[in-house]
Amino acid sequence: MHMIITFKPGTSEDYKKRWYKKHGIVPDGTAEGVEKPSPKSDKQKIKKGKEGGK
Amino acid sequence: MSCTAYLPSGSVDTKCPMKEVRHIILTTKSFSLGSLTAAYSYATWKAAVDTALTMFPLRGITSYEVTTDDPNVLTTAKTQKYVTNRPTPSAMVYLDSNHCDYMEMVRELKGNHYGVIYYLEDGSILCKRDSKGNFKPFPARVTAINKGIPIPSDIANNYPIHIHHIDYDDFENAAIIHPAWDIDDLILCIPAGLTMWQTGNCASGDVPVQINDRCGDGVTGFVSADFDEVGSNYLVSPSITAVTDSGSGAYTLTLSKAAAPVDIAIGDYITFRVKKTVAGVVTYLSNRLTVVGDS
Repeated sequence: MHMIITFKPGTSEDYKKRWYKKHGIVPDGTAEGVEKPSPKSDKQKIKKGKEGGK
Repeated sequence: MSCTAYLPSGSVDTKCPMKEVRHIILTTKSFSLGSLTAAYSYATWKAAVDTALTMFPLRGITSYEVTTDDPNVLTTAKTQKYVTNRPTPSAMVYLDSNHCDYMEMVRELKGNHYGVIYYLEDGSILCKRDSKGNFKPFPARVTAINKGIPIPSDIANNYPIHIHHIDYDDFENAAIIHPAWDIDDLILCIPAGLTMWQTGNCASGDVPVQINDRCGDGVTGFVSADFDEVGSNYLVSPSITAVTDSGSGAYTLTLSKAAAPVDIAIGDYITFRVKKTVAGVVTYLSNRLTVVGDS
């Protein structure tokens, strides 16, 4: 699924981490300020979810 | 005090009568050009349209009516006549527009005060000159409202705006200037219009919206910096801190408040718009949208 996430310039890394956690998204961080989950990162997200459940 | 009646002074050979109005240029009510040089400068006008957003040339008009009342004429018992007032100028202008652009005007032009500049058929500009030499628009209340349903025999007149000026004195101090540039060059500088609307509740600060070309399809590619917060319920640091572009013009925006951002809460609201700029020039501009926190 096409999905590009951007944060307002100057947003703190702490806020970004909290935002990703709240939305259950694992970023692949391909560019400064742009987080673009890819099919690979979707798999990673599922794997991480399983790990988190242990 | 002398009651001497003065006559007008001087005269000049008249080249031709004043031409009809070809375009209307709306401005913010405080818009002003400080000199004749500035008034002739295309760069100055262009910057007002695509950078400062203090000027909005309407794309075109199909026709217009001057609706200024006739002056009152008092006839005395001895049948002498006196003009007893100076009616304030007004006009009904029919726009060359479309439903989507016009409805944006209906939302914004609600009888508040704006500036109006008249661009005439011969390329001259009719505006006001104040006592300090500034060139200004004529102050007016401008309202966009139509009959809703298309008029079958009068389609060209579906998009009227009402212009009600404030004072005849402004026209007494009018100036006509003849710039070298053409109004069509200015119209090309208008930012592309977008329509943005909310497509679901604002839950925990997240609100889904759809952004389309005005009267067109969804537009992708807007990032957080392209959103411009223009108002809120007195929130500290109202902000759109994150934007998720899901394609086809569908976005989810995270609305926050406070210096250390937290999601907006129930009852909080933020008003914002898309305002995409490239090197300071605004290329896209949407309607303003007010989103209220639901949970």
